[in-house]
Amino acid sequence: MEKKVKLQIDGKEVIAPEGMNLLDAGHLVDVFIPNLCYLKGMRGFGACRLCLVEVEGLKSPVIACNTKVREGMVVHTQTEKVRNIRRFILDLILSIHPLDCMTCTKAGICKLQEYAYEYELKNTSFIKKKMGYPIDQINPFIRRDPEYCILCGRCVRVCKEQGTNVLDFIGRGINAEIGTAYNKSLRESGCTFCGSCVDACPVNALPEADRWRKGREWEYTKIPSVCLFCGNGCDILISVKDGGIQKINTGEKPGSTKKYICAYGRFGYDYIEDRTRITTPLKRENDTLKETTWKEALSIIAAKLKEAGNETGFISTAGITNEDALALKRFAKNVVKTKNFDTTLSLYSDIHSMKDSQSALITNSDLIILIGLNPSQWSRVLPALDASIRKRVNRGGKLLVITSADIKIEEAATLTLKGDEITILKAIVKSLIDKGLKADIQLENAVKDAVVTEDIEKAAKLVEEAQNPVIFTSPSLFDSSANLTIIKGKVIAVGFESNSRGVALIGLTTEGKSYSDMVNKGMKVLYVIGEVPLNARPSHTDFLIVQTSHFTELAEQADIVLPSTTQYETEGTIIDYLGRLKKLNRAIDPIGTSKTHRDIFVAISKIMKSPLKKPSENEINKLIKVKPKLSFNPFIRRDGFEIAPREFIESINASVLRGRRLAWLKEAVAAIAV
Amino acid sequence: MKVEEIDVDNEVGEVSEILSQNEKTKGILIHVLQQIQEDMGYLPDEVLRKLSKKLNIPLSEIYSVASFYKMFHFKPRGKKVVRVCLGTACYVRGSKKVLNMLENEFGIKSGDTTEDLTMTLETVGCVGCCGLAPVATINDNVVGEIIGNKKLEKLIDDIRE
Amino acid sequence: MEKNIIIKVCMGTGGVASGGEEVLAKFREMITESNLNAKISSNCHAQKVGCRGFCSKDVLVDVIVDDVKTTYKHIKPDMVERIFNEHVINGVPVNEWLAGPEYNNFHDKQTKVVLSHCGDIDPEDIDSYIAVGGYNAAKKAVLEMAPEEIVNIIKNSNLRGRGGAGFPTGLKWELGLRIKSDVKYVICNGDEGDPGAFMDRSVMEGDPHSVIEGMIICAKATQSNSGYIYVRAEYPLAVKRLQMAIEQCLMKNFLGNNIFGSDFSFDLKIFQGAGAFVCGEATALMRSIEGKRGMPSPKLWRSAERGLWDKPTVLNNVETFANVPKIILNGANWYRKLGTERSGGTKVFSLSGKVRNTGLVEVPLGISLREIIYDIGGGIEGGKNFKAVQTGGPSGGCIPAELLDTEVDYESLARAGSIMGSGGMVVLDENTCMVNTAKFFLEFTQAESCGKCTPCRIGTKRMLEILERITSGKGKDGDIELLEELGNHIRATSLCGLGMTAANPVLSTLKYFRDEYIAHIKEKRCPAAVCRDLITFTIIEELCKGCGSCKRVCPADAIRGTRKSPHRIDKELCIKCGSCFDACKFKAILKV
Repeated sequence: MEKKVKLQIDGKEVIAPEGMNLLDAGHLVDVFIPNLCYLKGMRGFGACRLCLVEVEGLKSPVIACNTKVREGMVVHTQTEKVRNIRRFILDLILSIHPLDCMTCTKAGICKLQEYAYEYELKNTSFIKKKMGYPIDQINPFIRRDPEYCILCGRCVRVCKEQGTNVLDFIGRGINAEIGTAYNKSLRESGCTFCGSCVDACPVNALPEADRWRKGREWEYTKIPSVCLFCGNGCDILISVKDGGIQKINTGEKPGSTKKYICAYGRFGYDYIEDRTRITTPLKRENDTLKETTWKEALSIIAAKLKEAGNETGFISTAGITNEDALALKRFAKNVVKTKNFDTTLSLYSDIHSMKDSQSALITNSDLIILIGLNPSQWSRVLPALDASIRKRVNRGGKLLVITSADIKIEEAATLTLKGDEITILKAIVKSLIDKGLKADIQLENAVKDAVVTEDIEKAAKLVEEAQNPVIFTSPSLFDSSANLTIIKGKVIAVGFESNSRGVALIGLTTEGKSYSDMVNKGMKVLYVIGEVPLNARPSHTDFLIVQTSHFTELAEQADIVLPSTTQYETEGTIIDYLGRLKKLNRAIDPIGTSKTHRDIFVAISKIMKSPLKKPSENEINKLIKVKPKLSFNPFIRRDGFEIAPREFIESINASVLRGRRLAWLKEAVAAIAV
Repeated sequence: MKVEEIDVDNEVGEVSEILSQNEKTKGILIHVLQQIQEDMGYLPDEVLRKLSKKLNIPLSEIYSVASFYKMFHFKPRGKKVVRVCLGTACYVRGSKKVLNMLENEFGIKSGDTTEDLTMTLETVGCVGCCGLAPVATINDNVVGEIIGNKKLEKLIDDIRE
Repeated sequence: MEKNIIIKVCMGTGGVASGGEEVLAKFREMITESNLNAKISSNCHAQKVGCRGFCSKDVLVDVIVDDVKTTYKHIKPDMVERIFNEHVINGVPVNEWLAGPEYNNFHDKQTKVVLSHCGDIDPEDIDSYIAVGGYNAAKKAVLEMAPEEIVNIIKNSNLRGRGGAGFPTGLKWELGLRIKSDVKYVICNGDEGDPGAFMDRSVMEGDPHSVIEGMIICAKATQSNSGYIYVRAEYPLAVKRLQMAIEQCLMKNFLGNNIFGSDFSFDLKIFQGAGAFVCGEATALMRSIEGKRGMPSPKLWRSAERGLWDKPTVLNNVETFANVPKIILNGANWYRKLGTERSGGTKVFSLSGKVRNTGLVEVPLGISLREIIYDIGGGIEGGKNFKAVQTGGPSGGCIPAELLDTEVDYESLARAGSIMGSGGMVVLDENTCMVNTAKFFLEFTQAESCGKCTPCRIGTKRMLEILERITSGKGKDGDIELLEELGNHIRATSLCGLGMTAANPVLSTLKYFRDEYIAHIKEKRCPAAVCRDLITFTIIEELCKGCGSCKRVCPADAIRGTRKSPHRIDKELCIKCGSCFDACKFKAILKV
């Protein structure tokens, strides 16, 4: 149990954990001490000086962000003295800050505006100065306008902590500014446009590029949801006005930078209204796809499915909700009566790896072990995993990377071991057993012959010293990695799609032909759900149904195309890579006549006279509540899962990446690489 | 100095043996930048990029650190770097005049470099030679008591030389 | 009888700048060429020595014949031959070039502890230092003394930090010793940056071993095995000499593993700064060694608990360390008695500005400002009136004439509205404008602000703008009050010492010279006739001889008149550059 101390803030009694700063302690009793540079969770920075408060017994005011609670402390946050000080500091800031609140994008959520109001500053009492910095607006994501910057350094600290390292303090004195190396544009500075700085900025120095006149903050309905574009399944917060999405932030309280989302998650949403969006069902007529009605499309499908029966195959993305997955499984098994249903999960993982992965939090782990994975913010392969690990390392966690390839995250590693992952894992286990850590006899026997080198010794020491090691492994190395947990730690196999784990738990895994089989050999009727990495209609396929939100190469070759909703137009749940159940909420109405996957299956089932019930919350919860079973398994690498992660993720998001802004990004990245 | 040939452990020396790799590389950063600057006269973009890879320190951070210190420059510098002291004693004894004179003579402002890279003109807080005020330095050599036209002309000759 | 002749040439930065190297080379050439040692059967050699603090008389040369010292001033290479022939060979000093009573007065009134070897020994030769008792203290401390014993001596000596704040050194070391850690650091702060101050540079250049020896003793006392000397970028000669000194120490095993044959080890490395005044602040200095921006961090911990790389660190200034060997050798009592009740020992000041003798002076604490300025400094240059003395550099303040008898120690100077600081002492006379002086210091601080905290970054800039407005004749009613308010707020809210003290020059001049501010604002007049926008030049007809010198130098062609008749200045055209004023030999130009 952590120690608590009792103190008083503005006459209110506060019981706060030892080591907490006064700012956070104030929050416990709803005393909000003004500040511009503090970021919860990070060390107090002490730059803005707004959080100065008086402590009885101390001669001069102290900054609340960097003063720890002490037993018996009596703190006053609103004395005339500190209020005068704050007024003075705000006055200074206003002397170099535009006073255009009436048209400013950030009006309503700008902290400077809020404090100027509170401290009755209509204008600065000094002579106003313009610094004359140029605006960086050549990218479609972030508009960087240093004229508004108050040098709180929040963006810098966020960018650095997550390891992106684009922004930093440049120069000094009155000419100090926040900028990039050699003052280049964000585009030329290795920026990934994740927009973490946008969330961090308390003023209008770093808004979304298209944000102006898209509505005031208070006009938005904020809908928490989950991003389904990749295996990280990040929390997002969708701002909706007039039935349209205006912006997306991380799924945290506004102004928080605790969570990370990448450029896809934050800016990719503009694809929903792309011209490739399908709004009505289509059917093939004389070699071309023509619009048709739902009624006609569904009856054609019902007839085809009835006729084909168990010669029907269903292939789906694993980026669908639990509810859709369960509906699909039941539809296939109970209505169409086929065992041939599978998802893209089978391309990169076995089922056991997903089902038996454990739950863990990166923020609670003191040692992260990364095995055979290459998460990267830059190639947007599991970017949030990359960012979270780097954050953890920058807050004192350790990182052990075991890899046979050269990967970027090594730069953040405490130790990197290069070579065959299995050989290394065995040696680490051996070294740990040699150190006297407890294992079981099977494991001991399995690593008997492993060779312990100096580096292995170091790695083993890291594991030995760790309290809560968490292993992130490529699914093909799950068994080998999981063996380490017999001694210590938790293990998680990371899939590349948002609901890889959910799909496995729900059981949308084949009982008949596999995904590859169906794709390679074709099916009489092939029913494709969502975007899959498949561009050509499999041969020997008599009838192809594609059910997706956007027109894809595959859809062009289909016999029937059904418009499904995007992730913003549906609700449901997923299990993210860390094993957490997350809820999607419907933020906007479906575009056109598009329907959710499960609604479509229910509708067809009705026509097929075998009506399907929509899965209930209870059913889902029961299915996903499985306790992972881990015991010794031979040290093997599972074959057949060798996909290129980046290409895979890009192909399942091909239509997202065709959106205006992400298309720019792809081009920009390509141009810089040349 | 060749960025590729930097030996981090050797540069760090015994004083900091116990530091982590990350602390070590940061610990030698300023020293390495000083050497690059000495060799090349400034800190070129491509060299810092290489250094960033070599030391595993983000380019933005290297630039940030370098831009904090007066000594570092990101543009080419003149063969002679002339710094006119504007410290108290020199100021009182008319160093501003020396500065204005040099600005006129070479047609540049303080902080600039002549087009032919003959010289870069700067000011400095105090070089600690107050007894010789007003002073200027030409590439770290101190020229003292620059009073009167003769001394000024000599200073200009020394710069052109 | 064989004669023993030593020629000592000052080769501090000042000496080198004035041509010391050439002078030394000339002497050496003469000694060799004349085959002197054989001819007059003497043992003669010429050596370089560090700064002796009287740089305005450089190049200074001592000729010591059998322990009789004669000092020459302003020596140029072409003067060497005569000195050599007349004095060295024939034993007759060249009287007209002697440094004279002024030089002796300057030195006689001082008490040299820290500077005792500066200007006497060859700073590039460890044996020269050992010959005057060097490293005996370190040897004693390492071999014979327990850490607690050393700490107690330093505590009893009343030595206080010479960097400016005056924190008791013994207490700092005691804390450093008490904290347990596998690694501890000792840092010497040689980032001397106050304009007008060069004490530390002279010590590092003139007696580098005394600093190293002090650090070794500190390392032993605090049980630390690693140290850094942080030297500012602008001091290349200091870096060179310290580097040589460290190498010589390594050869003699005074540094490195098992020093002096004991089981104690101490490694020392020089860190060269890269040009940032704020790095003189302890936390900023440590961030700088760590390879970061030299931005001060909020003080959650004392450095002695968590300093460099979060390890316990004892950080002292150059002069502080240089005092230590002498204290160990001569005892705490000896040192304490040199100073006042609360501050032991001596303090080195660099005396500059409008004083006759500028240079380094070392005086016992408790001496009055008057004694320093008049007895040692020889009073005001050109017989002008004393106006104020600025101590403590940009963090300090101006002390007016009525407080000239203030004793020089940490508390008294603080009471007078200034600070001891690191030892800058700039004398200002009646021709100095106090508003302009305050502006100068603020310009400095403003340019050196690290830019991290709001009050220092923006506040000093706004303050400077107000001063600029006042000195250019655009001052407004209320500006004085605004300056005071700004100053007090900046002092109360800044993150580090630099910011907290940034307003001191303004606040202290406002306190003692408020009328000058008022004259600038209300009467648009600069009483000292310094602020260009507020002065006018007029030719006094009665005094003008019509020589035309002023007309020739005027860059604006603002002077009219025919030869041999009084000239006139066209006020519309005058750019107030002052060239005519300087050029007039008859003092016929009035500046008001």
